[in-house]
Amino acid sequence: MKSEGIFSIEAATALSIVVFLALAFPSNENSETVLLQEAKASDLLIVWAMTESTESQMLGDAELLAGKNGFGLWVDGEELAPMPKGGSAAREIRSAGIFGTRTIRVSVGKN
Amino acid sequence: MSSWKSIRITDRGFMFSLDAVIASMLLLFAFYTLIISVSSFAGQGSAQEEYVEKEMLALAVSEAIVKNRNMENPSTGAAYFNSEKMRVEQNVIDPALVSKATPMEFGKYELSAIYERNRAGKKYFFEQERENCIVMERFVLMKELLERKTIIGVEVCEK
Repeated sequence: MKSEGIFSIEAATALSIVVFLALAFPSNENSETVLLQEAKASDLLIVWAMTESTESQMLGDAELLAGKNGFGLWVDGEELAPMPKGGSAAREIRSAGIFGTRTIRVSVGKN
Repeated sequence: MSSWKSIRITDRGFMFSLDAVIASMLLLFAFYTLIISVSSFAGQGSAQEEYVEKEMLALAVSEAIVKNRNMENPSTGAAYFNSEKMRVEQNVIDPALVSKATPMEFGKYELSAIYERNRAGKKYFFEQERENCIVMERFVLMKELLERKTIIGVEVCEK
């Protein structure tokens, strides 16, 4: 009897074990990282709202908190600092605030 | 007359064929590898879980410090109270209150240090020497005569 192109029971069992093991173990994606980044980005927006900061001040503040390449900053759509590379930041987590006529978006990478 | 015939087990390669030996070794090796990788995965998961637990505690403590105000225990709240607006201002720190903060225990972890960091450097309000610490930094406004933007750092360590 020809059985070409059909899984044998052994192959099907082995495959289902592999799939089961892959699904049984949780992925390494850290959802808590997102919370930390959101909290830090939110801090920046809250303080900037209270102090009416200029763009250069904002850049300085974000750099103090997150390091030179650890953050992204956009004011009214204009990119002042690019999105940080790697980690969860790569998924474009941005917190946004509207201050008067300005819309500020900020993304803080994980230190 | 009895017709017993002596048969050696290796005569027909039943038990000790090379194929069977190799297959058995491969099987044992596969089991060994599986056990090692599962135990390593479990160990990693446990360490990761502990790290996440510590990280979440650090986030919660830092959140409490910058959002709440607790006159009796500033380690759980050192935010500034605006008497004109009659409310506690989030992310605005009362320097007099935060300087009174002390170490605090949270089960197997401990709030071991709080510091302020800015371009001039780092100043500790209190510090305890501990190992396996995690640091959480928050951007705040320090409410002094001249308000200044600064960073408050919280260190949570294992006891």
